[in-house]
Amino acid sequence: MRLRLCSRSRPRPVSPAVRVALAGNPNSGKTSVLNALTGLRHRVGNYPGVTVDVREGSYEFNGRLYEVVDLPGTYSLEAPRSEDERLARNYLLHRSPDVVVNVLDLGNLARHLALTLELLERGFRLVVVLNFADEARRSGMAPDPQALSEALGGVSVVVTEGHRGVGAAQLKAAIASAAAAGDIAAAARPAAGAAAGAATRDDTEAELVRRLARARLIAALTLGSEATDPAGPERETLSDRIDRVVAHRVWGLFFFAAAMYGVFWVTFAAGEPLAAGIEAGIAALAAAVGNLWPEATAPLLRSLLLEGVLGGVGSVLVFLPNIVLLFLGVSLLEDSGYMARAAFLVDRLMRVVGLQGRSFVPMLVGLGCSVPGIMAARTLDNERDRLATMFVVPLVPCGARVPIFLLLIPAFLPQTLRAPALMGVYLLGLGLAAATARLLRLTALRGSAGVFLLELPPYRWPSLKVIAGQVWTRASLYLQKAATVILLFSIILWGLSTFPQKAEFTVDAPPAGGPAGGLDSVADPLTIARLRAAEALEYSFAGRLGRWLEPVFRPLGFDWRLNTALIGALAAKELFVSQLGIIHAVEAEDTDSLAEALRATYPPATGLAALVFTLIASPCVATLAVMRREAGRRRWAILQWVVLTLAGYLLAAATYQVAGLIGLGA
Amino acid sequence: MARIERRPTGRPSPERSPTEIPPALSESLEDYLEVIRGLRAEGRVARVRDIAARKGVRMPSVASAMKRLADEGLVDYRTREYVDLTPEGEQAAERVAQRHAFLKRFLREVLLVSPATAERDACALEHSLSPETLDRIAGFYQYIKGCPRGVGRDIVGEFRDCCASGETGPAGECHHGQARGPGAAVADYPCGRSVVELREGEGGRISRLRAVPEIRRRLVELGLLPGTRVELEGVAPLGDPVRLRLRGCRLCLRREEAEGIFVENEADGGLDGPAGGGAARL
Ligand SMILES: Nc1nc2c(ncn2[C@@H]2O[C@H](COP(=O)(O)OP(=O)(O)OP(=O)(O)O)[C@@H](O)[C@H]2O)c(=O)[nH]1
Ligand SMILES: [Mg+2]
Repeated sequence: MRLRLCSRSRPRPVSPAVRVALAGNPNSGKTSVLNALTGLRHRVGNYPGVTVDVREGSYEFNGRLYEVVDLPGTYSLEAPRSEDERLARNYLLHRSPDVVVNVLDLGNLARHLALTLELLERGFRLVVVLNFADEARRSGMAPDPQALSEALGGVSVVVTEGHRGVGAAQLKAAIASAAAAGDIAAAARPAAGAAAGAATRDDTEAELVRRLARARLIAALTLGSEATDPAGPERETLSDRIDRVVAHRVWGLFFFAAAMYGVFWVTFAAGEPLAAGIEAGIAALAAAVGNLWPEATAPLLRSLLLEGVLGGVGSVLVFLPNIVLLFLGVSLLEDSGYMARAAFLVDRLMRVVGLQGRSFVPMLVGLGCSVPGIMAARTLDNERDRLATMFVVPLVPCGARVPIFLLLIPAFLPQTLRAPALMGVYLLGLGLAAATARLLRLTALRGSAGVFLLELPPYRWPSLKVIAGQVWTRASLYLQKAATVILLFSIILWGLSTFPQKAEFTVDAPPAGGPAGGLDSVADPLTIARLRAAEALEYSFAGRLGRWLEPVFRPLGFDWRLNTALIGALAAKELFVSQLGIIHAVEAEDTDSLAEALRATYPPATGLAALVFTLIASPCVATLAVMRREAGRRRWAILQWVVLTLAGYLLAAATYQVAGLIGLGA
Repeated sequence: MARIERRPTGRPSPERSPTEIPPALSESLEDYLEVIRGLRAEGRVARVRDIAARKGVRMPSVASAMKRLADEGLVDYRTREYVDLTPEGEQAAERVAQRHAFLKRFLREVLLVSPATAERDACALEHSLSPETLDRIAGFYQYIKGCPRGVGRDIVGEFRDCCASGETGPAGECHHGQARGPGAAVADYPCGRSVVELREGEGGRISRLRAVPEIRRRLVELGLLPGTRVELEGVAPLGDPVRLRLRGCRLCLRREEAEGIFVENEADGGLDGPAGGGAARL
């Protein structure tokens, strides 16, 4: 984002920008090449279908601006099967980029070249990128770019290692000369319609077979025949050996459970000490500010800073380490190549609920955030599969809900029950996702399921640079969210919790002179302050709103304070924690932690009900917006909100009642 | 005219069966009989000049052929001006015509070949098939047309559905059928086994791909071309889906789709024998 702003603010070069599109088979490293060219950090991952959107970036080379778009992967332009493939195809055919950079995986050159031939036949001006040069070298291949260039009629060929940016400079030069050739031959430039016209041509299977056969021949010329012989014996690779264990028909599910547990452990167990550190830091900061800023000067501003900002945003930032570690776990799943194995392993189980293995990828992505999770469903080629998957993605607990769990679980459960309860939350989310999908497939989305076809990438050592970049991007996006949405809403919530201010309190001011003589214990000045704060809060807009909602949420055991926190959670899930933090900061001037205050105020039954409700009910605004866009109809977003909120409400009520019965009530 | 005058096959045939042409009669002589009959059917006199024009040959060739047919007693060529069929010639020409019509019918009705092609191929076949093969084809035709209802199946109908869907094998549960449809360009004898029947770690070369067209296309795009080596790398927990290994990539797909991928044993193909296997890369 920062970088894009920079490129805009630069003085614009005189000649018009060259529009470059990155095309290629899925997982050939297009996004890595884009990142290498532009210095951006778009999402990459070692499985097909990471990029599902047309993403942009730009760079300057020799005083000229190049606007690069990264396209989703596609096997051919002729027969797109899913939304992401259609996007790539439509962009290429209808937006007629000046230069197409075709990224190929050297490890599967014969097949990837088929798309190159198709692009050439359609008259695109190509630059061919042979990516994964490091892996090719390691397996003893010696690609001959010159031979390939000749076989393709003089197209320039660049060898790269996308993840490390090796070859980016040569690629820029090659793009520049391809673009220059285009400027000279501007008259002969294929018009916007030319490529599209060619698209209507009947591309039969025979033609496809011919192209594949020719691609094999050219690959053989480039690499030496032995490396590409389609009938030759297979060489066993490390990936094969790993798969023999990790994707085994029996052990596979154990490894799967272990991988999931690993992500989980990293997020929660490893994050705990860090979170505790940040919490202490924020508490110290608040104390310092509180001491330095005398209560009498600008009391409202002081309250805004201490209660609204530090209480609201601070209570969310406490859990930043956990969220960053969760992103790390998901990034490792994505970049190692395990993601596709997970889809393979669970396909049979997903089929039971009317989904398929590929639906699992959006769910895993949804562990980080539901928004990219829902978008990842674009790779599903069956519309009903896609809708059902998008519908249930918000049931997978996203990163924004991590603070809620981490606040509520330790607050209400003894040490021994915390880990199982966390696990339980995630399993409950998954179970409900499965049940909801099944239900949808039996009602609104009845019909045959799609086909499961997935290419498994080789395992790759996640490169430190890539992982760090991915985690950093996500973490900084999260920080941005904290600094914008959460801060803004925290201030709003603080305002709602502060105004209108109450002047007259029912609790008497402490007697001016000496210790009170015997009426009751209210004499303690601290207690009086607390009671007055509670009164003031109840008098505020938030308090009134919370009171007004009380009859609705009474079956869940929520009081008006929790109700106000739920209002915040509509915008972003973290605001649930923010608002509780604000209330806590407003109400209690002492140093009790938020968790301790919660434990003192509510019975465990209420805590569990709140956990269940925030897990299930009311996906956040961003999720609903993306659902509406992806489903194409507002109906689906509304249905999703209503169904999930209703289900959350009923299950939370049931939780409260059952917990009350087993003695966890008041 | 539809029926060929044939006795059930298998029995030692009598000296000369009704469809048989005297062995001495060569292909071109048979053709002459047909041409003469054709001209006559159009109500014209078969003159040497007409015959030569119709057959696209020079007149002396026609004259010498007529001499030979006359020697066989099949035509009356005494006038040296126009030709007429003798009663025996009439019969022989009739048989030739019947055979042509039968072959065309067989191509049209059983193999579902288009009319124009059937006409052309019938011309090509009628002279080149041995009596024995012709005999068998006739028997097969009768069997197919007469029997299928008896065993509860409309074989030709099923075959038609196959052709329509672009598949290359018979529909239904018979996956190992030897029939070849219009997709023969990408399918080859013999079909072999489906990949899901391989043992884990076992490989073979793709011999045939059977799938509904859109999926078939994607499979080809993914590199599952006939002739390509695939290996069944593994099976997911609960037996589905399966993992295939191709040169350059790994693929997972459900049994349902994988069942349509047929492979030949490498040994059958004879390309990578044990010796060839040693060519594994470094
Ligand atoms: N070893 C190695 N890894 C690479 C190279 N280029 C990319 N990668 C890795 O390969 C994986 C796929 O790269 P992406 O850039 O996401 O591929 P893509 O073509 O954008 O994939 P889709 O968006 O899914 O179509 C990532 O894990 C990259 O880090 C390379 O040259 N060598
Ligand atoms: Mg990408």
